[in-house]
Amino acid sequence: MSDGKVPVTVLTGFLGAGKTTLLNRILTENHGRRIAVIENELGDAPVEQEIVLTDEEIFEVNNGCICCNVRGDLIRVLSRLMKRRDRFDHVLIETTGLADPGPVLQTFFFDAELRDRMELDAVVTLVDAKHCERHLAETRECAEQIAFADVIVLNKADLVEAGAMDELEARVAGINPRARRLRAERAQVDLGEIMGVKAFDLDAALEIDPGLLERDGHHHSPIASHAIRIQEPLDGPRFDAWMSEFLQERGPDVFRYKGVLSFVGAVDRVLLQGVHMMAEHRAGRRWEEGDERATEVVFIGRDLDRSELEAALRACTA
Amino acid sequence: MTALQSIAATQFGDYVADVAWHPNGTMLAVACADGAVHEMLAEGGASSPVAHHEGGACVVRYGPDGTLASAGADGRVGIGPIPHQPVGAGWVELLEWSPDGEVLATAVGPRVQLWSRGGAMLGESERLPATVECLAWSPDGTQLAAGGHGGFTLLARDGMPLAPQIAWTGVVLALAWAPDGRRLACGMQDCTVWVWDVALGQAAMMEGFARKVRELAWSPDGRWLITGGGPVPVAWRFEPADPMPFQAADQLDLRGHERPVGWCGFQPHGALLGTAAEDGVVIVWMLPADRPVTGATVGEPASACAWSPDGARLALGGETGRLAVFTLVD
Repeated sequence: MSDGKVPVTVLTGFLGAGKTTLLNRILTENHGRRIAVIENELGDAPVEQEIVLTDEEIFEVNNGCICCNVRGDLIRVLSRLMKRRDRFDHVLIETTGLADPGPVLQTFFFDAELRDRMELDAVVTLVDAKHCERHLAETRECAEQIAFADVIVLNKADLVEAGAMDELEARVAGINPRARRLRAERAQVDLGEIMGVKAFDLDAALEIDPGLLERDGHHHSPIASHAIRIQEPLDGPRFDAWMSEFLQERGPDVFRYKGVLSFVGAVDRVLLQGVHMMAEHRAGRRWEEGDERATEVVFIGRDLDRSELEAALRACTA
Repeated sequence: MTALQSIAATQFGDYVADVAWHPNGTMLAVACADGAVHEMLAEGGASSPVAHHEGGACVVRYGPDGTLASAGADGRVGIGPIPHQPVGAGWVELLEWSPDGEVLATAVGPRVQLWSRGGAMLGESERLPATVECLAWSPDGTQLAAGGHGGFTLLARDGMPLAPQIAWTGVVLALAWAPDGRRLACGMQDCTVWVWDVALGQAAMMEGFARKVRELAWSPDGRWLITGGGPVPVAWRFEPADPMPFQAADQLDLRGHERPVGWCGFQPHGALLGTAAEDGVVIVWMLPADRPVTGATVGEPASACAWSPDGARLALGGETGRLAVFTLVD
């Protein structure tokens, strides 16, 4: 990896979605990658590169804010792994079926030492194609896991008719159009498709797919993705004030956000991404002559109102 | 002009997880991530494996009588020559001898175990509120502080709690008692340091650290507390006569490292302070001067560091198994 950071994949999905099948493949197949697997529950056949989190420890890092949670157990286990860096080149963290992936992701934003040595690669969500509609109808976690994802594996495609599969895929895309979707049988996916994705890399392409921006904004699910484009440059202090107020108020409902910001008088793009209230931003590529300057941000969350978001951002223009 | 001169360098098989000096100063114990515990001569560097912890050795400590204790990822503790004993399921990364050398404390998960010098288990704590991240004996050896998520608990020598957990928000990653046995410094995951007056039950918070703080050291005279938590360690000056003995009177920024420090420690009975950073550089300071006195490097990212009992030498271990011993020369 560049600058020697170890990439970290976060694997989510409901019980029965095929996580164990995928993990067993990763642990036993000869794929040439050395992957350390961190699990919440002990698998059937523990192997050397498998680490189990025994004392789940989620703690608040921001007094009174319910979404600012990080995983203390994860910090501990990853710190131990850093003493074994020569033995693996990728880390895979499995979250339990109902767990919110937020605290796992926020752990990497929160701990500077971890950030120095590891980098989030992608959130991969396995979906049980046969039961997904029911999971979506009966739980909120299923839609949340889809919303957090960078890659969605629609597993058990062989158990569902093609027409139903297309419908499901459209449904999933309605929640999170930003993520890449793969269809699989028995969790047979090319590991190259789920590892080395660089979805959290601010240097990787952040430009938003124009298709996303043209969507009509009608959503059938309370959890949805909203892409906003604003041509007029933003005023720095105004945007900062709004963002901080917005996240204070709606942080728990904002799962992921990512984008490019254009500020008044700025020479460079500003790249932004975040999970709940934990955001990071830094300077990106220079705006060149002929570039069409604009702010483009995607928010994925629960009960977010696209027109409100857009109006709020417009109010931040200079 | 004082300088650090290399007197020995040895290459071990893997990451040096910990290094400890024998109390007579002739020998060092080294815990390696490949599982081996080595003893080596401080001058000359000849070494031999003396113990093994499957999955990795994590920690080594000599008692004041020279009894070597080690523990590791196998969930076992070794005390002197007797066979290793199981502590619990999980890595044992904490090992602290009481100052009199009669009791050895270990921790795994949310429990603390106490062992005799002969290897008998003296007691085990109840389940504490969270996984134990750090242990520290009070200077008189009557209290063992165990820190973790939510605060710290003071335990007696048999593991029984002396008082309910001193609780506040945050994760205690490091504990250091001042020589007066009254003030207890806590390095926190949330980039703060708290100094508690344990008798009063009051604390002062220091903040502004760049990172979580695991590096803490009190000077032998109790006038300075050194805190890491980034590339600029801070020396906090305390006035012993101050009615609020947990409130620092003044502070000095110790600028000289380029990378975050991972260790700081005073000479056991002396005035010099050592700090070691992630990049393998160790710097020696003489407070109240905030300029480095001298420095050296192990030549790879540093992972463990310790002063010799006489304060004349420093052992510095690295992430690929290098161990260097330096001596102070004029």
